[in-house]
Amino acid sequence: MEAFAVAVLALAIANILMLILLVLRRMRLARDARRRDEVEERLRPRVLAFLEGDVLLPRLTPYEQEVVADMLGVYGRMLRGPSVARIAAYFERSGIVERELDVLAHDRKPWRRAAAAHRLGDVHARSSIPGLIGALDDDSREVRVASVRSLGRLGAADAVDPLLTAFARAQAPESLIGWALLQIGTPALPRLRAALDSPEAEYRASSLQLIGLLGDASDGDAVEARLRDSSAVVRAEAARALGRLGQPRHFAPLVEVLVDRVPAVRAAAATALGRLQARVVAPLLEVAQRDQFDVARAAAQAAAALDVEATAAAIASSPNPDHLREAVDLALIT
Amino acid sequence: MSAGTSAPCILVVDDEVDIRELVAYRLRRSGYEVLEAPNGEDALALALDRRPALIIADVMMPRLDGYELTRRLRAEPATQTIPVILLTARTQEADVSQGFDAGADDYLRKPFNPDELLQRVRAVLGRR
Repeated sequence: MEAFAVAVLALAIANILMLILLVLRRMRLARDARRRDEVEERLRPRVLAFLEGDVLLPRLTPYEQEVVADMLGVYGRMLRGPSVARIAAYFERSGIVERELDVLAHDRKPWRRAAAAHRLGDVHARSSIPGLIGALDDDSREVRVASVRSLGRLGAADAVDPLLTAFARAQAPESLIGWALLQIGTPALPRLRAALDSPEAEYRASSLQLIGLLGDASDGDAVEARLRDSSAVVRAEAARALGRLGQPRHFAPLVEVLVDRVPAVRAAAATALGRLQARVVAPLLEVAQRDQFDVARAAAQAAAALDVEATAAAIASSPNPDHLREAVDLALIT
Repeated sequence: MSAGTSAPCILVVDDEVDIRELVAYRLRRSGYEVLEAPNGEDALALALDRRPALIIADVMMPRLDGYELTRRLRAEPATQTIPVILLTARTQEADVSQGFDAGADDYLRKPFNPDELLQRVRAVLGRR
C-alpha cells in the first residue's frame, strides 16, 4: 500500500514538473517571437530603403542578420526587378549563399538541405545554380523537389539537361519539372529539341512531352517524325505533343497512326485528332467501331467532338455502339 | 483625392505586413499619401471615411477578400468610382477574370516589379 502511495506521489510530481517545463517552454517561445517581431519592426524601414536602393544595410549582429535574411527571403518570393538583384547581391556579399550551399551539400538532415535549396532560390542567388543542379541527385526527394523549384525560380538555362534527366528518371514530380522548364522558357527549347535525337527512348519521350508544353508550331515536323519512332512510348508522346501544337499538314500522319500496333499510340492519335479539330471523322468512326477499350473510346469521343450528328448517326448501324453512345452523350452535355 | 492634401491618397490593403509596407514605402517615396489596412473590412471602413483616390488590394485576405471588397466598393455610391488595382499570387486566367468581373480596374500578379506597380498606379490615376 505504501509503495502504491509513493508511486502515485512520484507520478504527480513528474506531471507537475512536465507542466512547468511546458509552461517555461511556451514562455520562451513567446519571448523569442516577441524579440523577433521587435527586431523586424526596427529593421523593416532599413530593409525597405535597401530594397529601393536608397541605403545599404548597416552592420548587423548575427541574430539580426538571420532575421533580415528571412525578411529578404519573403521579398525575394514576392518581387521582380531591381530589388531582386539587390537581394541576391546582399546574400552573395554577406556569405549567406556560401553557407547555404555548404548546408545543401553536406548537412546530414534532409529537411535542412531542402530548406537551404528553397532559400537559395528565394534569394535569386545565381552562383548557387551548380550546387542546385548537383542536388537534383540528392537521396532525399524533398531536397530534389526544392532544388527543381529553385532552378525554375532562377531561370537556370544551364539546368535544362539535368532537369530533363530528372524528368526521365522521375526524380521529382513531372508537373514541377515542367513548370521549372517553363520558367526557364525559350532557352530550354534548343536543348529539348536536341534531346529528340537521344539514343535513349525515355529522353526522347520526356523531351516530346515538354516540347508539347513549351514548343510552338515550328516544332511540328520534328515531333511528327517521332510518330515513326521504334519506341511505342515515344510514338504515343509524339501524338500527344502534336495534339497541342500540330497543324493541318499533320492530320494525315496522325490518321496513319490510328492503326499502330500498340493501343496506347492509337488512343493518343485519336485524342490528338479530336483536340486539333481535324476534319477526319470517318477514320475515327471506323476505329471507334473496329477497335476496343481505350482506343475505341478515345476515337468515339474525338469523332463526337468533331461531328456529333455523324457520330450519332453511326450508332444505329454499329455492331459495337457503346462507346459511340457514351461519346455522343458527353458531347451533348459539354 | 483626400481632403486637405495635394498628393493623391492611396489605400493599400494586404494582410501580409511585409508586402503592405513595401508597397506603402514605394508610394510614399513617389510622393503619394498612403493609408494602410490589414484586411478587407478595415479597408472598406477606411475607404468610406477617407475616399482615397485609388485602392491597391491583395486578393487573399481574412474576413473580406479582395474580390468581395471590390464588389462592396462598387455597390456603395460613395466609393463606386474609386479605382481598384488587385495584387495577387493567384495567376489563373479565371482568377483574373473574376477580379475584373468584381469591378477591378487593373490586376497585377505576384511576384511583381514595384516599378511596374507604380506605372500602373499612374496610368489608372491618369485615366480618372
